[in-house]
Amino acid sequence: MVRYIGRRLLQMIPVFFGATLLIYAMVFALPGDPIQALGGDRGLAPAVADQIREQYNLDKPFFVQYLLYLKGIVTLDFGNSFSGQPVMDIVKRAFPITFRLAMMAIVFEAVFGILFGLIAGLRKGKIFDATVLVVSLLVIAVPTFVIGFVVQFFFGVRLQWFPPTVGGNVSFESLLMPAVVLGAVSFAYVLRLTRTSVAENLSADYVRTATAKGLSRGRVVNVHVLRNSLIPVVTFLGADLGALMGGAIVTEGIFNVAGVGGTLYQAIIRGEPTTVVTFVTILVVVYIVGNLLVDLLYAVLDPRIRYA
Amino acid sequence: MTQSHAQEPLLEIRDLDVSFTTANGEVPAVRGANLTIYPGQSVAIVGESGSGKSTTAHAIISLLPGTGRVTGGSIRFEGTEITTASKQEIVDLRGRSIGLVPQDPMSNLNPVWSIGFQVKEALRANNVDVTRGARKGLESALVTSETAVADGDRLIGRKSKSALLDVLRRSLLEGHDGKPPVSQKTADAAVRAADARIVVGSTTRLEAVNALEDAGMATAGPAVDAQRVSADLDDRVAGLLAEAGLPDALRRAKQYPHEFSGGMRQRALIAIGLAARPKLLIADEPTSALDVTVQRTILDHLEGLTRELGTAVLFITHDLGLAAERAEHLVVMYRGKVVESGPSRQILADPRHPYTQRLVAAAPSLASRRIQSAKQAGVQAKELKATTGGTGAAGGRDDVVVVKNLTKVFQIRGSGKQKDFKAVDDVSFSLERGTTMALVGESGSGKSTVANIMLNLLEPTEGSIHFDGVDLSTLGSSELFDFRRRVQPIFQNPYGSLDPMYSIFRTIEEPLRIHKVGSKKEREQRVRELLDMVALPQSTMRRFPNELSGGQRQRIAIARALALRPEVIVCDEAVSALDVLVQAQILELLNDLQTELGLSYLFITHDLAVVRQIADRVCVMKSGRIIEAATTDEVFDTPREEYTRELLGAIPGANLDVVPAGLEGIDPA
Amino acid sequence: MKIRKLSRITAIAAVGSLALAACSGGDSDGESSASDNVFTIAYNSDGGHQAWVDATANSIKNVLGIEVEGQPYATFAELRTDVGDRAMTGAFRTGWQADYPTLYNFLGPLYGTGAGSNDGDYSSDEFDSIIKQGLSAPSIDEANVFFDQAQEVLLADLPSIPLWYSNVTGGYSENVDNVEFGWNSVPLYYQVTKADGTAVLANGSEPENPLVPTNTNEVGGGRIIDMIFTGLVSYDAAGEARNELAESITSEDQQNWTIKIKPGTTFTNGEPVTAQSFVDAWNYGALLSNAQKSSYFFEEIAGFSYEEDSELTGLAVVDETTFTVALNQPNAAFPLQLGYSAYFPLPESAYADMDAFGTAPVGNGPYQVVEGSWQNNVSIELEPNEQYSGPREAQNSGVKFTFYESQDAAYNDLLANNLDILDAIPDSAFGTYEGELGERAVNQPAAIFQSFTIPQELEHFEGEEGVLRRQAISLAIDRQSITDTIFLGTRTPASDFTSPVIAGWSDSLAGSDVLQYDPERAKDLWEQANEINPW
Repeated sequence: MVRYIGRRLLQMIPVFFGATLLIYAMVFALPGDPIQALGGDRGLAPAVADQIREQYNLDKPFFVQYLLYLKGIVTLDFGNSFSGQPVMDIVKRAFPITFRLAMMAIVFEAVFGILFGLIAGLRKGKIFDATVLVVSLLVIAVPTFVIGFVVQFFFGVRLQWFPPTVGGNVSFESLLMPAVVLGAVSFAYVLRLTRTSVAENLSADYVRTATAKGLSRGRVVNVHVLRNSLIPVVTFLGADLGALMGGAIVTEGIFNVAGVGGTLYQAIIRGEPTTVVTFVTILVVVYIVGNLLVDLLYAVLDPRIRYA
Repeated sequence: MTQSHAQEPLLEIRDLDVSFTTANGEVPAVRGANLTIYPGQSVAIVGESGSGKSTTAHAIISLLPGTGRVTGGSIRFEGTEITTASKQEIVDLRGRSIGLVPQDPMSNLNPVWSIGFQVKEALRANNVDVTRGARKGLESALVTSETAVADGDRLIGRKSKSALLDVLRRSLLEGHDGKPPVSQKTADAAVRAADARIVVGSTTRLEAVNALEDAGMATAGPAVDAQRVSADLDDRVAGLLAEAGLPDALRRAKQYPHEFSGGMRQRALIAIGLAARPKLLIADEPTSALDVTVQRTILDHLEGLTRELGTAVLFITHDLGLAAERAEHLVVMYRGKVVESGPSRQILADPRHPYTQRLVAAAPSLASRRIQSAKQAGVQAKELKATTGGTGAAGGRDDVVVVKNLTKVFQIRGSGKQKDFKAVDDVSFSLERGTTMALVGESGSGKSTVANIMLNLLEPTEGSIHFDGVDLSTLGSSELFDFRRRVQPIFQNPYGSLDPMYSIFRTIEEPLRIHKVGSKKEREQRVRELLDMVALPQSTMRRFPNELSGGQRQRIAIARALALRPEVIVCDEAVSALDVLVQAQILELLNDLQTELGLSYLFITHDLAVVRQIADRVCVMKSGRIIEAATTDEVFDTPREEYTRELLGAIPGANLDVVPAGLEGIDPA
Repeated sequence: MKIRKLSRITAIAAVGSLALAACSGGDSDGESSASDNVFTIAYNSDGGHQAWVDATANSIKNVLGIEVEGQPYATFAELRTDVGDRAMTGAFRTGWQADYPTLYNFLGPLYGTGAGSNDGDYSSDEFDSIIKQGLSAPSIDEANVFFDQAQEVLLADLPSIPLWYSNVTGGYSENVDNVEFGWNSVPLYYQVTKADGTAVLANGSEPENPLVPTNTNEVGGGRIIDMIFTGLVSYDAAGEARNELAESITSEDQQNWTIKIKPGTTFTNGEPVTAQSFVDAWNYGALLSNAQKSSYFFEEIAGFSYEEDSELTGLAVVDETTFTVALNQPNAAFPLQLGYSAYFPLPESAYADMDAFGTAPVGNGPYQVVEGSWQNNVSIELEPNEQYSGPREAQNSGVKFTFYESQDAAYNDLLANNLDILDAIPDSAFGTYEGELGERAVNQPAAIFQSFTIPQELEHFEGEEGVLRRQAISLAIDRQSITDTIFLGTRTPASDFTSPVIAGWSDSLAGSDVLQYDPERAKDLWEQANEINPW
């Protein structure tokens, strides 16, 4: 097991370098000159533009730029954004917020998704099940930004139960709405996944044996059905963490969360290689570590899985 | 030995009706079933698939799937009506009064919990007092010690056991109660003997006293008394598993189902079923998924346990021989109705209902017994189907297939390094034209691998196969393609071997098309011919596999195999998945075809009873090697190897005195 | 077998329909118009311009019967790159927001020969000489007369087609009072009062550059710079200039200026504000190797160079409170410019590490940055500067700017009174905000001008033919309709090249009828052009 973990972690290194190179090349290939854009509608005097380019090493060939960037990484200096802030600071500010948001979303989708999915699976075909299926279908079908705006308007503006935006006011209350919106689609998936799993496992042979042993229905469900049904759900949740961390752009925009999504989007628009590459690389690492954790968790949950 | 029936019945089923709600309305599965079980009695329900036997048994403890309901009749347990019992009462009943040992050991154990956990659940849910064991009838009579022990029926836990063994060792080495000290060696042997006799969680204090005194201790009573700590839950779990026949139970309890073999899992299930010492145990096809030698051991153990505990057993099985051997009373069900019921020997000897008669005639284990009996009487029984009558007397036939020194090594990826696994180890045999050679072995013996190599589906690592004198390894790819026409397979699973997207016509026609035999019209003609040969109507051509039954599908498989007029047919467990009567029909068909077309069969099977009926020669395989190769007669009459004898002994019904039909009155000498 | 046949048919059907679709796709252009010449208007789709560009294109198309299309660029950067490289093959959107409230600011930098923002490469000697005359005029009013004349030249040549003036739309919450928007569409935060005495909550955007005055050319940073610094001159709500730090700005010839500053003012770190503070700061901003984005504001001062590092020889410190400025040519509006942020002074402590200074600036304005409050991309807080005494004294306890990514989020906050002042209503709320905010809605003209530029060297648009075509296009745009329908009254159709907010604006310039909607005349002029050279 330890060797397995070690192997997986070692595999991260070439992925890391490959990812940075790839992203750097992609940003480099973006059409448009980011320096010209800095001038706004007026445009910059060519001489000034040249000066700025030199400052950011943008006048050097691609590979030189890349190697300079790598050199910086070794000393944990990820360069500066165009506005002069060290990218490291931007990372330190944006990632914790998004991580917190993603965690809240995961807790929400896990707790409620599993709970409702369990009940729906147990009462398959009845009213609760049908309602829950329709609701989850709606949530999946309606785009996230629509859900986001509707939730923000009703609960934030009209009813004023929660602050409509997060902004600088990062607290459990203000993050609650964005977390729910962010986790909404995944909640629907977890619910359906749990429901199917539970319904399937209910008719498993070992459930019948457990019942024949004289166990109460509650115990059969909690000990036998639930544990086995959770395995696919857990793997889904683990993969979801990576997706939530990087893909929250729309939700972050609606609720004004200064997290990874919005920052990354702005950086891409501006064509800032340093910020974009650093952020994306960190996201890649988060994703890989998340996957590793899920695989390990999988081995814990299912004793049939043993890694060499 | 029959129980006295003066007692009240333990379980009484009267006019039971069970139906299932399907898309087409209510379908009755059991109609008017009657069954009575007395305390301590063993009863078997025999029937084919769809007969309603499992449904009846499950209905007793209300384990029917959601769509099933009891629609009529009554079930009384110890006088109380349980069809109308409340949910709580049923839950109380399950496990504590009526236990279940289910059919498929793999899918009936939860893969994510350890075995010990699952046994513990059974104990806890039924509030079993784990510190005491029921005084087992016979053993208590054998208590020889005079020393009385307080709470004699309390169980020994692991801590107590190690303490007692220490005491024993010390008292032996130092001498006590006037006895002189003994040598180290003697002491060790005595301690080992006591160790084996005292089973944690299963041995009572009284029995422990016995064991210690037999090991040489003068008076063990006080020592045992001094142990105040009794067995706990874990100890009891280990004890139960040990009683069910699982060695090294304490360690095994922590393992998971996938780390157990099939037989071990079944033993665990037995332990779970008997954990709360129910009065009735329902054993649903307890051994059908297991190898035949394992089957015997487990059933023996089960019989012993239930007799000791005085538990009544209800067997559900499709094997008449097994039912007759293990149960006192037999109930035969057909299509949801009980068609015959009575003492098992009587039913075997004199079946009344036509269905029962057919069953008795067709059951391979019984047929095999009859053949043996007939032989002893010097007569050829009509069940014997083998061409040479099992004598294997060739009479000048040539060998159509000769296998020499066949070896197949697989590379298995272990943890880090590759391990070589020899599936087939230096196998040699020859198949005479027009006869049937049976390759017998249990799971993992390598027989299927040999079959696959013969069909050219696997390359042998070493060795050669000669077909009609030609060494197969010398053939080029197009020649091999031709060769394949002459050897055809029939596989085990009738549901898997036919492509559900192909019509029957297409299925049978395909081999002809691939080998470019004849024109379109000629091929159609041939397909019709083949359907006739396997006794299926011509209209089957246009149907699809999912519309056919298992037996019909296997006939299609045979037709397909015959399409190219092969010389050799490899039957890989071709009849194992079929019901008994259907099996008999297929064997009959295969036999007829062999006579008509001069086919040679290589019959792979684990069922020796079938072998008796149809094989001329037998090769017994174990762990990749052939350990015995002889004619069927020789193997059955004078088996040389121990393993072969085990296999033979494991055939259900081996101990029955079965008189073949028409020979009543002749004394099987 | 049946299934095999079915799948074959489906495959053929799919391929067939794809082929048909491809064929029919090519039908739309080619047959219908007389020629296959398409007039395009380029814009950046990330700026929300698609609706009006398409409407304008349709207007022209319907009147003149030619093919007109919007040409979207994915990002602003791409658009500017192509414009800068002179790679445009059609017209492109241009806009202008005044740096300081003078007419000249709309004209000189955009249409002067070789001027920095003259993207269409327009060059007219007549225009240049009138502008020069205007700059040398002794007073602003006299200068404006010349500037109007210059506009008349533009109206005849139409280097770019004026479209409309933008309004500023905004709103404020129930918790604040005294909200007024300045001439440059930025709320005058210092005069806003809040009943409960806490900091006023405003929306902003993350400054794109460090907070160094000569390097800030966008509104996110500019807004803050304007509050933490004060210069020689500042502007009131109506756009009129008044002296702040300057005691007097005088000149005999409009080319050589003497500036006297008020004594006794300090930066927040205690350093005194002297003439040296200005001269050093301006030199820093102008120096080529400092690469300051607003360096071109110093290009008219003697000594400025784009080729190499060069000191501004035109600047000279006379004494602690006096310095002189020598321009390359006369500019009567020079004093009016001095309110722009590029001309702010800097403390000496800044030059040691300008980047560090940019993250924690030390200024002399009505506010100062609350230490450590700038959370990037989140918010920044300003508190009143005790040491400031001037016309812009803070009437509240501070301002907290929260940076919003999308205006919609900010608008919702405003409705919930979670935000006090919103400086721009999002497009989605144009129809409803006046109803929802009532009195608290703001909708007033701003110094923002929108047009699209047709490059001078574009085929068919040169010389006499070009003039005719440009006028025809201008006459073919129904500006009123577009501003009513798409902008719901938040834009005003243009009648010149500047903005109604600027002093000296006139809506009755000669030739401004070319900015009206006149389809008959448009067609007529287009036909005349076709006679010279068919389209």
